Amino acid sequence: MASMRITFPENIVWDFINDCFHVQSRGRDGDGDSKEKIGYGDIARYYKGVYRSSGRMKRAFKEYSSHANKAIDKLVELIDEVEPFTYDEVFKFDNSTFQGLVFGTVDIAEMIDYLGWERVKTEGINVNTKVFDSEGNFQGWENKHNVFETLKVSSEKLSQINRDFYALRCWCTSTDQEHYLYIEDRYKDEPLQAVASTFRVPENIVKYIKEIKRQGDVLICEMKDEYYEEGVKPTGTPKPLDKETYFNLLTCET
Amino acid sequence: MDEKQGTLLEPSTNTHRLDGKVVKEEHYDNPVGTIDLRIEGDGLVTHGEHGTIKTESPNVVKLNQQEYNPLKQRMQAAFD
Repeated sequence: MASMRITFPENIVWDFINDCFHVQSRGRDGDGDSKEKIGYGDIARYYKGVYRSSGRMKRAFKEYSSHANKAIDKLVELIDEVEPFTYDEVFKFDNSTFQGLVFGTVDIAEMIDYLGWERVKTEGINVNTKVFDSEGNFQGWENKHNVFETLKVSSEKLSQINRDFYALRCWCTSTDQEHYLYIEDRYKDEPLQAVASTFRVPENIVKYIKEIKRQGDVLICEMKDEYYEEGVKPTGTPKPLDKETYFNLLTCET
Repeated sequence: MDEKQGTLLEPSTNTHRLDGKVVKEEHYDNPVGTIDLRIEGDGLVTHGEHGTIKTESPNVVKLNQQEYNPLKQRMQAAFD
């Protein structure tokens, strides 16, 4: 019997007929879904790691058809009762596809402290950022000093990763807020380039960018008039921004 | 498309929303979640945990930050 599938956010597929879940597998792992079934409990714990609360999860699922209500209602009920996966649980998963998905949701700071790390390189940069109030009124420019550190994380306690890997610590000295991202090995000696590389822009539109504004993990590229006049479409291959382009164009970050 | 008042920029994680007169919205199926927008007037980009951003140009391209997954050894969308 053909199963009716509904793709939920974050690569999760719900099998309507069998009322179970799979991980959507694309790209290097091939097309189609992973064969292993995942139960409501584990999916709820995964979404807890992604959304943190039922309120946020409901907003993400707002657009789904009534066919999915059964699964969504059950997940929403569960999400406030469960805890997200911890890093040590993630490493014990048998389902490697699901493991790869959940890995991206665990608290990086806690995990790298547990695994052990050493600082590789530190770079700082002054950033002038536009400040807007909640109504969008311009409040002036704020000068911030951002510090970026690349950290080498030990893989000794992991069986699934056989070589050390790298994280980037992003820290604003003005707000004392820090944020972590995993980065590719090739950027380990270049913290500023590492952060720029996390923004991958269709290569055909880079020259048309007038300014960049970042809100968390979302990049807003405001385009020059020529972008529209020439009928340009963002269809090029996404490529990492170089640090000069990123920081020269960045006018706002929140 | 008919114009609409606002759109969700990133509904799958914490919600980033754009409020404004959106006269064009085109989604591209690529790993960086590209949305190509044309806005009449200013747009307000809001989020529950981050400060508000105002867009000041009519043509805007929205992209998602990417992060390396050392377990899968490939890039994926970053989690905010």
